[in-house]
Amino acid sequence: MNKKKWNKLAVSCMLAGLAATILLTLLGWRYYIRTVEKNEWGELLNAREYSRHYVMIPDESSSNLWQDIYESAKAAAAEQDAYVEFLCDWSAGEYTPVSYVDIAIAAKVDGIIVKPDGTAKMREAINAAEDAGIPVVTVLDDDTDSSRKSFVGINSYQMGTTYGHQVLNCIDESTRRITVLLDSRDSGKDLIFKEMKATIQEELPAEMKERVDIQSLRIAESSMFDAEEIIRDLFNGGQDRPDILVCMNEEYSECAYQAMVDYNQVGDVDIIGYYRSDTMLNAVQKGNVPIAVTLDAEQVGRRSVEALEEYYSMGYTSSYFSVDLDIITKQNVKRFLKEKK
Amino acid sequence: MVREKKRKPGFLWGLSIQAKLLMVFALTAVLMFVINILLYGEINRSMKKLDEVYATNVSLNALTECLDETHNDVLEYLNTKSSDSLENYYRNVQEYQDMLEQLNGSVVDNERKILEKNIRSMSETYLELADETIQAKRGRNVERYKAAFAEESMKYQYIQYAIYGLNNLQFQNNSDNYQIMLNSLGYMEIISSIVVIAVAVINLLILILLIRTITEPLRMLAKSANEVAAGNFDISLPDYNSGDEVGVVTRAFAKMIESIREYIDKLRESMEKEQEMKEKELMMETHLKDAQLKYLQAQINPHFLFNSLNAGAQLAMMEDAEKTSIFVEKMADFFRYNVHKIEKTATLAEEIEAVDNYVYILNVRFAGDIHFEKEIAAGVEDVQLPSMILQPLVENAVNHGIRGVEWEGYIWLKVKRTESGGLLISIRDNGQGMTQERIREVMEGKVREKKELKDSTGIGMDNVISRLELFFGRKNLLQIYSDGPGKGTEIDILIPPEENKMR
Repeated sequence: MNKKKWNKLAVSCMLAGLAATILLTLLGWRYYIRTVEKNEWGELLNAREYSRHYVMIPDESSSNLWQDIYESAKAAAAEQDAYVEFLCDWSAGEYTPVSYVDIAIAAKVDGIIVKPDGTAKMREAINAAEDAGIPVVTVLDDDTDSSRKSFVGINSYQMGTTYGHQVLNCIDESTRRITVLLDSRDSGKDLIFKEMKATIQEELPAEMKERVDIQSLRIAESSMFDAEEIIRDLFNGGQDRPDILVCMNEEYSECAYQAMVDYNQVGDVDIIGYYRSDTMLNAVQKGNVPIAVTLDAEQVGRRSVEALEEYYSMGYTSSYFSVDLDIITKQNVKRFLKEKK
Repeated sequence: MVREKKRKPGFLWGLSIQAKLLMVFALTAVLMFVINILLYGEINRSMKKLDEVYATNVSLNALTECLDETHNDVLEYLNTKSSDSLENYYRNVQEYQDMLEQLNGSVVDNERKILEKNIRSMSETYLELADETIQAKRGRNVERYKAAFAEESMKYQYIQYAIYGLNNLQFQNNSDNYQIMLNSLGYMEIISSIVVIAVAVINLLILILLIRTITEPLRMLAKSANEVAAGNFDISLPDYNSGDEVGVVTRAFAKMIESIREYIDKLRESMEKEQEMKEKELMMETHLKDAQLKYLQAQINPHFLFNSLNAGAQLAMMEDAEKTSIFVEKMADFFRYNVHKIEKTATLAEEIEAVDNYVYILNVRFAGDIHFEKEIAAGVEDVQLPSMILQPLVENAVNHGIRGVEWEGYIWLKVKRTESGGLLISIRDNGQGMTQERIREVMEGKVREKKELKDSTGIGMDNVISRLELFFGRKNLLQIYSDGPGKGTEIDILIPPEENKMR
């Protein structure tokens, strides 16, 4: 081989070797970082910093509905350079959402997303936050008397009408008793119940109005177990057993469904469930539960953050953001199952 | 020719092998070192970062303690309004604020960090409320300080919960942290091992390449040296103009080959010159001889002489001078033979005839002083030998042998077969004879014929000897014997057997 060529080749080989070494090191390092980032260390090292701090105060932190809302809110906020904190469970049940609003005010956050429970204390807390310059967005239930900036959800009238129509779909010749489960802590549902009852009575044929009894069952519970016992009693009570049972929250729906299955009364009681939890979707798919009402949690989370962002950028925001309400039946349950996946 | 391309040596090329090797090793070592530093530096950096993240810059216990004390001070002041409690309060507030400074204040996507931020913000709210309470108490605004204290107590509780929560998280994280570090170190160990091994392999390859660039010229040089050793000087030397030892050796080698080649050329040239000189000398001699001959020929046009002599012979015949006619005829024959046969091969018969003629002429000249007797074996007439061999020997016998002796001079010519089939020609006289020393001198050619000798045909003894030797291709064909001064001389010529048959 030509000497000069050989030298050139040798030099290029050396340079290539050097480049390969550097590349290898960088790749190795990159691989290491990626491996490490899979665990919390990486999460910590790369923890993002945001310019605004919002808190979301749920009434039932462990429910699927709230988890879904929080996830979508967090994702939507991240796009807007804001962080949403799920403010709950500081003390074992001692603090109510009102306390958390108070905590949020003390913590000088940039925005509060809360589901009001319809109490005066909550209204005061919301007003206090507004006084402290913290915008409040209510979700799922509204408190129009408070000075909240915006509401994201479905208004009680619309909700009541929808429930009413779904109950009407389930009413047949043998229907005698319709029971609606209400949470004593959640006064917002009272309005829905009223509207639902009005809708049913309005549209029910005259001859049936006499024999169909619509009543509410208010569960004043201090813990989850109380509600469970009460719902079980319904199925165990013989005479008191409803033909149609309307559940307006996720826990009641699942409790009722479980009790119905346990007492072998599938087909005897029509449960109108709430939210697209796995249990409900499966129950609808099997035909054990005819209908489940659900709202779009993703929209709730996203729009609540959008309302706050709009307030910060424009100085005002729309007082009401509507979200979609879906009726899950055996016909369309597959779509929801798919979405879940 | 030796080809050596000139190339400007670069910085690297100017270094010695030792420096080059050192550089190579240093380079690879530095490379490994840098890689290691890089890797471990990064580990250290991320460890430090992790440490920063997890470091409890402020002890949560101290924070709680300080908060408790502040709260107690407010309570005590409300109860007693003592200046001590107020002083303690301010001191604690200051301390507490210092601690708060070390807590995270930015919005970070991490449960712990956000909790720290909440604690910090809530504490600020708390301190504002505490201050308001103190001011209200000072102003004796009972309603206000009671309400403010209630608020403050609430926040105090919130903060306590938050710190409690943070403590729990930290406890949980610390155990996680250990596992993470352990895992991370495990990954690092594997990855850095792989990287280091790969880098070592690449280093090795680079090292081999570099060393080859050093040893390759050496190998080429060795190849060239081998070729030179085999006698091939027309080689192409490796194009290696480096400043290292190999470069020096290559250049020295090239110079050496050049010198050797020059030396060989010079040697060849001088040898050629010498050869030329020799040739010239020979030519000179030839030319001299030629000139001598030409001179003689110029003196006597042989044909004119022969014709004249023939005419003389006929004239003598016509005048009935028979003896003169024979004399002139013999003389003509002798000279004709002499002129024509020189440098040609002759038969023994022709040679003997020439001798006869010569002796006859001499006897006419010197009135029959020379007694010439010959004894020739039968069947030898056709034996070939160089011409003008016998006549000069007879002439020698006359001139140096019997001329001037007081007794009657005899010359004997004898030709006989030897036992081995060769031919022995013997010319003997009873003249002055020779000393052994003289014989040796004659045989060695040391006695030069006197050129000006008028009474000679001009062919000397040494000429005869060398022509014989040349003709038969062997030495010692002619021998001279003499018993000493006054005892006569015998010259023997031995013609080898194969020669007298073939020629």
